[in-house]
Parts: sequence; C-alpha cells; structure tokens
Amino acid sequence: MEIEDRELVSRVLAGASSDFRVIVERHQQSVFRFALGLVGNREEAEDVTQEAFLAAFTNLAGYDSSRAQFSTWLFTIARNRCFNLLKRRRPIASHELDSIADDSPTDPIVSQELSQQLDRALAALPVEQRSAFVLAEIEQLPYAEIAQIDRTSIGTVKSRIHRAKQRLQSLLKPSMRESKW
Amino acid sequence: MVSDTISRRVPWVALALSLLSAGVGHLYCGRIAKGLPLYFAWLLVPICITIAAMLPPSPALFMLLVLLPIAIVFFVYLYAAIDAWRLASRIGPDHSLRDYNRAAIYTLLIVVQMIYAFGLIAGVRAWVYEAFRIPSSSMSPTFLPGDRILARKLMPHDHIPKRGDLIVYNNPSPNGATKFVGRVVAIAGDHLEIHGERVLINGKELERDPVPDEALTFLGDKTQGRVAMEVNSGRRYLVAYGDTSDGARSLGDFDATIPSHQVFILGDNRERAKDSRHFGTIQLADIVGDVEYLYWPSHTWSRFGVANDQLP
Amino acid sequence: MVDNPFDEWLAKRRNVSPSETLVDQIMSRVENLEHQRPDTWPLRLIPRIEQSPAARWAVCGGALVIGGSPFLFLAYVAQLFTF
Repeated sequence: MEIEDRELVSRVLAGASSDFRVIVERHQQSVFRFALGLVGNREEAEDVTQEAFLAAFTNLAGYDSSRAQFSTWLFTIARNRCFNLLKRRRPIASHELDSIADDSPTDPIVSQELSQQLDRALAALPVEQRSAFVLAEIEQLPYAEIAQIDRTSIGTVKSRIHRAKQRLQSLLKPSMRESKW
Repeated sequence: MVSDTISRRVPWVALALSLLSAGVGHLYCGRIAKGLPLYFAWLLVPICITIAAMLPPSPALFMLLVLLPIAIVFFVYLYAAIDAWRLASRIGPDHSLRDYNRAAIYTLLIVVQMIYAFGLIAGVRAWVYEAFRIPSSSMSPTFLPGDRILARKLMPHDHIPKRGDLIVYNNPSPNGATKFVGRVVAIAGDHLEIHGERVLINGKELERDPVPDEALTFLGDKTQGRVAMEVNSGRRYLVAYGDTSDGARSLGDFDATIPSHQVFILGDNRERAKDSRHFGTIQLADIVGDVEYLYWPSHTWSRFGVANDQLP
Repeated sequence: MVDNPFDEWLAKRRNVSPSETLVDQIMSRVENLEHQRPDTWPLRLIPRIEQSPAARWAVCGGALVIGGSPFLFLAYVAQLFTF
C-alpha cells in the first residue's frame, strides 16, 4: 500500500528529507499541469513548480494535516506563486504562449488548430476563472477543495467555472468563431 | 513584501512571542504596522519620565508623565498578548509569509527589547530619577520610616543647592547605608553655629514657628518630641527636636564656616539624625539628587505628592 | 473524440507532463537548502510542543516570566519590593 502524504510529511520533518522525493514524484505532474494552465508556457510552469516544492519543503512544519489535504496545500502555494508571476508580467502577449498542441503531431489539422485557439482563449480568461477552471476540469478536483485553494466560497467557484466553460465552448460554435478569431 | 508561501499561524506561538516581547506576536501574524508601535511602547516610559524631570514637580505631572506611561506600557503588554493570540486564531492556516517571518528576526527583536527595556530602566535610575525607601526616623516629620521617595538626578550643570533643599547624598563615612537623605541647612561661605537646639546662620538664629497639634495628626505616633516649623532663607519645613527616646544622639555645640563646594546637612529629626554634625560637610560632588516626590507614603496617602509641599 | 473537440482538448491538457529531470532538479535544490538553512529547527520544534498541553503552558509561562521581567525590574527599581 502507498504511504500517505501525511506520513511522508512527518518523516521529512523528522529529518528524512530524502522521503521528500516521493512527495515530489507523486505531485509534480498535477502541480505542473495547474501551473501551465495558469502561466501558459512550459518554462515558467516548471520554474513555478520547482519554487512551489521548495517553498513547501521549507515550510513543511506549517502544513496542518487536520485542515487540508497535502495536495490542496501544495496547490495553494503553487497558485500564489503563479498569481505573483502573472501580476508582474501583465498584460500577456499571446505569442509568448506555448501551445501544448505542438506536442501532438498525430492530431488532425483541424483539431490542432482548434486546440491552439482553446489554449489562447484559456490564457485570455481572467486569472480567477482560469484557476478555478483548470482545477475543476483538468485536475478534476471537488468544488470544496477548489474553494479552499482559491480562498473563496463554493458558489463563487461554481460561477467562475461556469463562465470559463461558456467562454471556451463558445469558440466551438462556428458563428462565434468567425466573430472572435 | 508578501511572499507566496502559505503557512499556518499557531495561536500559542503568537501568544508566547508576544509575552516575550510585545509586538513580536503581531509580526509573526504579519501585522508589522501594528506590531512595531507595540514593540516600541517601552520607549514611552523613559521619554516621559525624562520630560517630567525637566519640568517643575507637581502631583498631576507625576501621574501624567510617570504613572500613566508605566500603566500604558503594562496594558499594552497585556493587550498585545491577547490580540496576538486572537489574530493567530483568526488567520489559522492562511498566512502568506512575509520576509520578516523568520525565527532569527523574532529572536533578535526579543533580545533587543530585553536589552533596551532593562537598559532604559537602569539608565533612568542612574541619570534621571532614583527611588529610595526611608529606613529610619532621622528625617521625620518630613519623611517617616517606610516612605518611598523619588530623587531627581537630572540637574543643570550649574545647579547649586539652596538652604532648605532636601537632598540625597553619598554617605561619607564607611559604615552604614551608602546613601542618606537630609536637608541642606547651610551652603558654602555660611557661618554656622549650633547651640543645643538653636541653629544660627551668619549670626542669625533660624526662626521656629509653633505648629498646632491637630495639624500633626498625620504623624500618628511616629514622632516623639516637639515639632516646629523652621524658616531658613524663606523656605519653611517641619523639624522635630527634643526626641530623647532610646537611640537619641544629640551632640553639643558646633561652630564653623562652610568651605566652598560643600554644604552642611541636618536631618529634620534633630536629636536622632546622623548628619554633618557627625561626619562633617558634604562635597557638592557627593550629592546624588534633589528629593522631588513622596510617591508612596508609609502611613496615609494624604501625604502623597511633592516632597515638603504639604505643610500645615 | 473528434466529435467533441473540447473534451479532446481537455484530455490533452490532462496528459501534459513536466520534463523528466524536474524531480532531480527539485531534489538537488532541496538538498542545497538543507545545508544552508539552520533556522528551520524552531519550526520543527513547534509540532512537538503542540502535542502536549503541558509543554504549551510551559512555553507560554516561560515567555511570561522572561517578557515580564522588565516590569519586575521596574517594580524593584521603584522600591515596590526589596530583596
């Protein structure tokens, strides 16, 4: 059976810092995916992921397992890092965005084009909506956890996700596509 | 700067930090704007007391610039502790760490405050005001045993004691207490004669007015002998003489001219005091300060206030 | 999948991974931190003290004694009590 995060945290706190590797391996993909969704390019997303894990390591004693899951705490750290980064570089230029669609040469051309458009549309969303959307649709977290990470109410989370989805899916309707892009 | 790291605020840690040093618990909770004024509240005490030492003494001034600042600092200390606890409970796990949220900074602040709080209190005692407890009846009826007095040490450079001044001075003889309180009766250049109970300065006997017994009820049974109001160069003060109960040390006659930079001291209880009649005149350099306040009278609070101010 | 390009896009975004060296990069920085961060020990001490109410009271009581000592000194200097 897998060792729980909580157990790993107390081991690391007790001095076994090599156990932190297990934590990193377990969560790096989701933290990276979330960061990529927020900042839009791989390089910065990897930087943020690194910083988030380092911050988590140095403040591990501040993690309270009775209040939140470890992943929630980690997402909160990553979210704050991303928000700080975005604050500094606003407004973003769309050409700086990497398209994850580039990695998938097997996709049909049409789909790839659409995928890039969705990437751009996601990057153009307000940050709060983007954060809620990525956590809900890509990380597939429950609303309660998203509310904890974004420090807001479940109602606000739902409405942010709803508005983000509406905006993105509107791209898929041909009439809207013409007018927007 | 707000960092991006989230950390939990632990209420009892905030409480302990605030108890160690007011304001540090607020820094721990990220409230530096509130923490720093709380942290520097201690400065209020020496600043106000030093201002008080530079103004003419009055009971209102003492309350306003000595007692009030001490009370404020004490309540600030209690308030800071409670508030830090409540802040940390409210913040809970959602604290964004600031760059001053470091154990090393808390430690430094606590150590610095300890040093400055102790240092300032010691500094006030060394240079501004020093408190003394009267152990004997040698100054009665002006001061009674158990009275707490405050001597002002902050003096202008050219300060010269006047006849009638109440002073604290270093005991010139090797035995007994290190400091005595007494009254300047004659200053440099005066010709002083003492014949029994009579005191003459420059050939003129000090006038003594009788004091009605009902004006002396505050003394209770603290003084035996007779009490009179002595007038010395316009200064009026109570003296007792003829107290020949056990331990009296009446001396015979005395005739001298006071050398320069020296003063002649008598205790107000003339038969019981150990003073310049025993160990000679006092160098100006040995004067510690002027007695300004009787801040904690032993017998009744009605005597609280400026020393020698409440004459019948 | 092609029928629903939105879901296809979501699935693609769920599949992204960071570069393979990321874990090693993080761990090497963690090890560096280990060497240069001596002030984490008070943070490690906190959870241990937290488990025992007696230890918490002792810490706060000790803090009160140390932090209240300037007031005691002031009372001593003011002759409110004598040794």
